[in-house]
Amino acid sequence: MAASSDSLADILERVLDKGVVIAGDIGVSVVDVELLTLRIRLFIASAQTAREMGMDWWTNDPFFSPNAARAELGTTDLAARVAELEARLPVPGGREEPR
Amino acid sequence: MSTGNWLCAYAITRNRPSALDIGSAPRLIGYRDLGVVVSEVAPARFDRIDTLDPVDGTLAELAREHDAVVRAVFRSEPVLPLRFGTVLDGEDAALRLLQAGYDQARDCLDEVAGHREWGVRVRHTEPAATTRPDAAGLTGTQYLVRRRERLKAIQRAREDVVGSAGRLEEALRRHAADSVSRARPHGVLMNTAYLVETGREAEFHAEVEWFARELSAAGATVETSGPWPPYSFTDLELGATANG
Repeated sequence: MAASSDSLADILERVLDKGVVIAGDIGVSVVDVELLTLRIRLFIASAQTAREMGMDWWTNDPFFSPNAARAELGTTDLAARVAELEARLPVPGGREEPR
Repeated sequence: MSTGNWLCAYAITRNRPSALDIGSAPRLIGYRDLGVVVSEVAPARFDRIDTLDPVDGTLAELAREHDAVVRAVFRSEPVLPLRFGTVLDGEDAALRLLQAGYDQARDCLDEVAGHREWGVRVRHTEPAATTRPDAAGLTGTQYLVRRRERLKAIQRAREDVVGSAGRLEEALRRHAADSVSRARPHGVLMNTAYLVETGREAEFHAEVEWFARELSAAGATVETSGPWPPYSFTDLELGATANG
């Protein structure tokens, strides 16, 4: 069912990533190249906590975690691919089964 | 460039100080019928902000503060949230901002007035395709048939959920003035922000409820968040072109 939750993750996602940007000659942003830096720091500082909160998008982003991406390809993706291929195999039942 | 008078800027809103209840610290600097909500800030508070743990600690605190001020304004007035961490060099800079960005800000404020943002997220965790049927007592053929049936069932369920989430997204778009797709963590099929006119929120939520039942039957969950100030619908850079 629909549940309502304004989690810290939701707040961070909006407050840090969205909103009107002010040109440099009038205002300055104290958070330089904010999102990129944040992404990396987020990852280093609290990957585990953030993952529990569902903010683990970088784990699928090869730029930030090339090893994780490769590891995933090695297990999950490959397994899914095998499963898909297995599903496509002709049904062995009936035709070849000895009666 | 003056020093020592940094103003942290939170949001642009209408210049109606009497309508606002934003506590004592933040204040409104007005220009014609627009205003920017600011508060005095020690830049040291933002020191090494990008090295801080985002989940608890100073960054989370500052982000919540920013959100709290934006929401306080939003309770009574339409609002354009400013990017977190925007600092203006004194009142003159605040006035120059409103002057330079006046037309853009006013148009955007008119667009979001009377609307609120809602987030809708569909999660689906499917059973692992790698689990295998118990082979005991089965011939090789029976085993393969059973395994294939299981995989087909997983695939059917996935197609059902993806199709249903797609229809939900489509249906909600009809009740919303605007929509924006957001980042999708693993296991999230849909994560969309909608800008909904307050008068249409009931139908919007009725639609969400209807699809939530359908999706729940297919093994997925629907979460909504909000109402939010229109964070995701203020994709605007002020002062850049208007000044030049």
